[in-house]
Amino acid sequence: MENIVEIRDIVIEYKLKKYALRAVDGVSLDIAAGKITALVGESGSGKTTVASSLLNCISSPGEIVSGTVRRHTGPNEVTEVEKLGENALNEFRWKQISMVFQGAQSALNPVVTIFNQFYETMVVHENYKPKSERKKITKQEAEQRIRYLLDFVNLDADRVMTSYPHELSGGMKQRVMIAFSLLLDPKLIILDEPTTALDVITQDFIFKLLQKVNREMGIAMLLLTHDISVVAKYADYMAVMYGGRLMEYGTVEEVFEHKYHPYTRGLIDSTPAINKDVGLLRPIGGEPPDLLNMPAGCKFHPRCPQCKEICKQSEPKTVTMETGHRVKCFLYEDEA
Amino acid sequence: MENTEKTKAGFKELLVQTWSRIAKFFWDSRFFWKRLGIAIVNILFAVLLTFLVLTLTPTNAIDSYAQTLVEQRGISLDEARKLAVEILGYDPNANVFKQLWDYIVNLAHGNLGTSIYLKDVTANSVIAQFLPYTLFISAIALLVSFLLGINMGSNMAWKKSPAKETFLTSYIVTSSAVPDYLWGLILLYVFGCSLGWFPLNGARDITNGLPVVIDLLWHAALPVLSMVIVQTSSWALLMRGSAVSVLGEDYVNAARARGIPNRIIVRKYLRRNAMLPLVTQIAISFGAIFGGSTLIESIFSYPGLGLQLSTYIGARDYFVVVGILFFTSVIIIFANFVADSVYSFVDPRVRRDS
Amino acid sequence: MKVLYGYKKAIVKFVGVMLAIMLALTCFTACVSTEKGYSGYGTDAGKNQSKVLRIFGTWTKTGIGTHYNCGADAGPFVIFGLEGLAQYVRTTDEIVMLLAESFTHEGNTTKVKLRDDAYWHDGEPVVSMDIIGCWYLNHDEATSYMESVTEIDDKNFLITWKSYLTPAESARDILLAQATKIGSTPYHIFKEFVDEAIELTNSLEQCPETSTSRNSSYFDKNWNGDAATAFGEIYTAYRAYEVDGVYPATGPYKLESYTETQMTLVKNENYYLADTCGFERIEVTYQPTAAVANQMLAAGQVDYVDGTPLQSVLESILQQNGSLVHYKILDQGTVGCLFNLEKEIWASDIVREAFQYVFDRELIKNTANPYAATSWHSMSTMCSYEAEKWLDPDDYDKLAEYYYDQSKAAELLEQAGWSKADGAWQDENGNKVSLTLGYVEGTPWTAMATTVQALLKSFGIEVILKSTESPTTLLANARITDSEYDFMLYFTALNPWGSHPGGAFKHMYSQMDAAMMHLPVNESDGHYSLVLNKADGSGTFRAWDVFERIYTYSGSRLREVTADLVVGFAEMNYGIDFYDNVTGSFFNLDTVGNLPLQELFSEDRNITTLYYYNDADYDNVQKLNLYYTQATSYSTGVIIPRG
Repeated sequence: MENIVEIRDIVIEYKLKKYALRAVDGVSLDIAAGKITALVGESGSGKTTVASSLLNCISSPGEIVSGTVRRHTGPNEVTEVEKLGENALNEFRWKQISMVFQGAQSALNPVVTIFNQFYETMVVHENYKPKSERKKITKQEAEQRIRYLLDFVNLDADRVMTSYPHELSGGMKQRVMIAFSLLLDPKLIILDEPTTALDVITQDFIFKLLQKVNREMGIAMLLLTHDISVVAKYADYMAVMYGGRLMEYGTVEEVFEHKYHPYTRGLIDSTPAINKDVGLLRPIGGEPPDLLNMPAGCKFHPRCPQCKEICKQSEPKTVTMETGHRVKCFLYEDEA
Repeated sequence: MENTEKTKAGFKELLVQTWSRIAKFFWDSRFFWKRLGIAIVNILFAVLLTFLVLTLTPTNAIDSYAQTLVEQRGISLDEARKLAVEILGYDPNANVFKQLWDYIVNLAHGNLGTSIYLKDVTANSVIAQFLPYTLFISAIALLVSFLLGINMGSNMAWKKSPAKETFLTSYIVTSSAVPDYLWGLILLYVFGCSLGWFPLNGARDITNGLPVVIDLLWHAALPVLSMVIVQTSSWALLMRGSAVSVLGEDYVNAARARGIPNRIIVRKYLRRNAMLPLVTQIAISFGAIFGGSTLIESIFSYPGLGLQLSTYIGARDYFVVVGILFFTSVIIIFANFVADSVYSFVDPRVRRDS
Repeated sequence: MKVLYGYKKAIVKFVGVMLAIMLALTCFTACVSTEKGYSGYGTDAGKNQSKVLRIFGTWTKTGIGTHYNCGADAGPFVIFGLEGLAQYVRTTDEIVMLLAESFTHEGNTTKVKLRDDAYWHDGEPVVSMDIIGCWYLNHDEATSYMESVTEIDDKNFLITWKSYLTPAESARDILLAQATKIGSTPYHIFKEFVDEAIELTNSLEQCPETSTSRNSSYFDKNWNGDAATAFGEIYTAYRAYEVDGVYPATGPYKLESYTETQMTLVKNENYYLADTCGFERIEVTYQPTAAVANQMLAAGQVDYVDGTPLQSVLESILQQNGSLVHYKILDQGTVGCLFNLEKEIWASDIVREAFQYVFDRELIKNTANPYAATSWHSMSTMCSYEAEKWLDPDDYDKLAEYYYDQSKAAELLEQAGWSKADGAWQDENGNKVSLTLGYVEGTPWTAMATTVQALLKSFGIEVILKSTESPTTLLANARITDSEYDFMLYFTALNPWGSHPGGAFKHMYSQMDAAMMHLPVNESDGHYSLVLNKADGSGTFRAWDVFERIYTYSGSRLREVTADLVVGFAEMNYGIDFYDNVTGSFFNLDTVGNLPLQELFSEDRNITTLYYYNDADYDNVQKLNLYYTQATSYSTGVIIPRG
């Protein structure tokens, strides 16, 4: 398995006036080339923050305190995202990794036509190239490319290109965003809750589309979601986050089969499935952790049905199984 | 016979159709008519009030003119008053409502008001003569302060350089705490008197031999600057508020993720979107400048409409005063209309929807 | 506010920097300012080779019209371009002959001979009908004394004075000189209107002997309703007439050009006094606000400015510009307060007397105008030094003097039934006394009003201040029935009409003060019913009767009636004189030459000595005021450029 991105021991803090909020603590994550990796967790678990760190565009005042984000750009080429300067970072963004934001509806500039937003991005990135390689992108060339992408996501290119965002429906905007993310041929696309606020039929359509993108173009994806059923259906790998920590990582099959971590188990068991009796649903008790007031020890222990004394005192280390599966829980610390 | 009946019926039908169409037209545009009606009532009230208030003051045009005659001819005040009534042909004791009615009749003929003192001077001629000066300085000041203000406001919201932001905040507090006429005096003292770089008064100097445009700009510099200093800060504050809320929008963060450099984000994303709410404001401000800035004009002895207005109020030349005020209120009310419609031109969300 | 707090430090810094800059500027100006004196005035060359005079002025911004009587005001051009038969120099005895060469008085007629070399600016000679016509169209005070004016030939005409109201010979000169702009209606342009006006006047009946306004009737005619209407029509047409060509004028300067804020006048080379007329051009800037005017003066951008600002301002201007000199000029007027006699409080003569003692007049003078001379009289309708001139010393001594003595005032008030409780005075009915004071906003009235308020407060009387924008408004507010003013600050005496007591009484009885004071009016004839004691104590007289005939008296009789009016009125305590007012003139020594008292301003350019009628330098100083002499100081070589 070849990793396209490796996140190592990353710590992200929101620096406020009086104290720093640690949103992500020591997360390590691999994203495999050409595969769909799902990052699962409740709201506030830090998954969007981790994803943002890939582009180093964590919303202010957040910043990477330690750890690295390595993007393997070639056989022996590695880019350390957090070390990039402003220009290099801008060049890296979208070209290497692009992103479909949560609520794509509002991720488009409302006063500029779709065509112009695409065109602007192309021109900007062309200008990052060294002078010798730079060429003027004509509107015709741009139109050709944009038309191809819009066609690919099943949109009426003629209409969409001249439209303003508010003239499109939610599903159309989401598809525009997907087309947009493909614009510069990135090797990885981050999808942050790509289907929230969409109806079920559209959701399904969008995922089919994403699958198509993944298979036909070989583009890796990092899918941020809280919807376990989506993960089961589309993802190859999954990572589970809780309270800013990565709790479990492995292939989807393995995770669903073993449900090593009690939190993962809770998540899976609390998700309705067609072949399951609703009566068997077991929601996780308790509340998600408060970032301002994190419990000591394992962050999950107050809600954990298998909580031990040690869980309340110290944090478990990450345990790597033989299969490469990783779990952060005292239950398995001995096995390693 | 039958034919005629038919035609008649057809005609009737046509009539009904026409009427219903007309009725539909009015019904469809009822909000427009309502607003227009309110605007007209506003104007009428403005005229009525100014007229009554002016007439209620103890002095009137006759008193002022009599005083002049006393000084010129050495006659007694009583004789001067008698003479003034004869000369001016204006009776201050005439029924106020009749005077108002006469005024409105005049208005219907396009005459905004004839001066009591000078038969060939009307509100129209005063406006024609002095409005250009007022518009010249006020429009430049508005434009410059608007452009500077949105620049400053977006910079402050962007928060890239703490030093810059500190400077701008201090500037805003200092400049808006001191009213524009005081800035006028300070500028006049520093640049007009101590340094002598700019003329101290007037709108142009026919004796200095400079090209007209240069001369006009040279004379306008200080009055414009004093207005700009104060107005800029209010635009900057408005812009900052608007820009801060735009910064929270997803599309700004999305643009950053796309690798769009900051300067383009500020220009195309932040400024353009944050400016939208200010567009209505600027249209209204533009209407307001037609009244002139009396204090600034009087400090710089600038021959603008505001200074003239105060002169005519001082002389109790009611008809000219009411004429100018009528003109100003119409412009302001019109500007409000324009503000509403302009918005749809700059914001596509409003444009296509309506 | 949170934002403010965060940047508080920075703001303090910023404001500090601003203050430092301003302080530096002030220090800078203080450093460059020169000594008190000015040397080399009589010997060194000046800086005005181009012979330009730069002054302030006002005119109708919408356009000055095409002739003097059109209604619009041509301001400085009127002063420098238009003239009369003669010009009296206000506050002096001098009369400068202009269009007239001589006045010859014979019985109740006066023959006027015009100059042979007087021309209109369009080149036409000035003829008798030009002057006659102007009088028939523009009635002034002189025409109320005339029966007729008739042409003898082109350069001579005859004035016949009313037989029952013949002005004394000396008064005739004053009356004729008061028509300062009579050269404004050339017959060759206004023939139509002049002929109509003369025809109308001649067709009217004589004013009936029973008429109460007989003494003021123009040309002794009965200007009843119809006549007035007919005249009004002629006048309106005359006023509206647009002169095609040069603005009619005869004076030393011609109008070159004007805009809303600038006016340029050039010397009239054909003027009969062109040889003594020093300045080639006069450049007028529209009068800016006081602050700006002072700054322009200090910056040396004007050569002459009229008036005396507050002492601190005056001193700072002189300090900023070492070439400026300021003369103090008497204006034959007294500043003080007038009682509104309609108000019950003033009905008691003891109360009126008590108020004479309440005010520290010295303090009031020092706050409002320290260069003036304090007056200790009650309101006498004539300023002290003028009264000294027109009254015999015995009579002048009869004017009572009231010094600052609040205990005396309190004693008198108690005598009038007033009482003091909790530090506040109550009138005889036990009502707390609170007075409303009306005044005109500006120098010196505002400073005076606050001092009066403070003095009365310390005495135990609350004063409410009410300011107005102009004297016209003050007059209008004061003269209405039930005016809110209990007393007003204004000129208690003023004579701008030349060297004759009549001028002062005119201000009092027919123009301003009496109307503001609500002097009681006799219903039957509509004139003031005021009766005064004669100065020699030999009986009483009705003030109006004497006032109306004041110009007919001469010699000792004139002195006698003047004393009656002045002493008699002062006894009434109807008002309070604070100080005899002093105005002034700024001149730029670099550009203006021939100024008097050169030996003084080499010491101190702020000339504080006051000169009175008998002093040798008096006339020279008075003539420096543009408005006192109109253009004559400039056309007769009194003031010239310093090249």
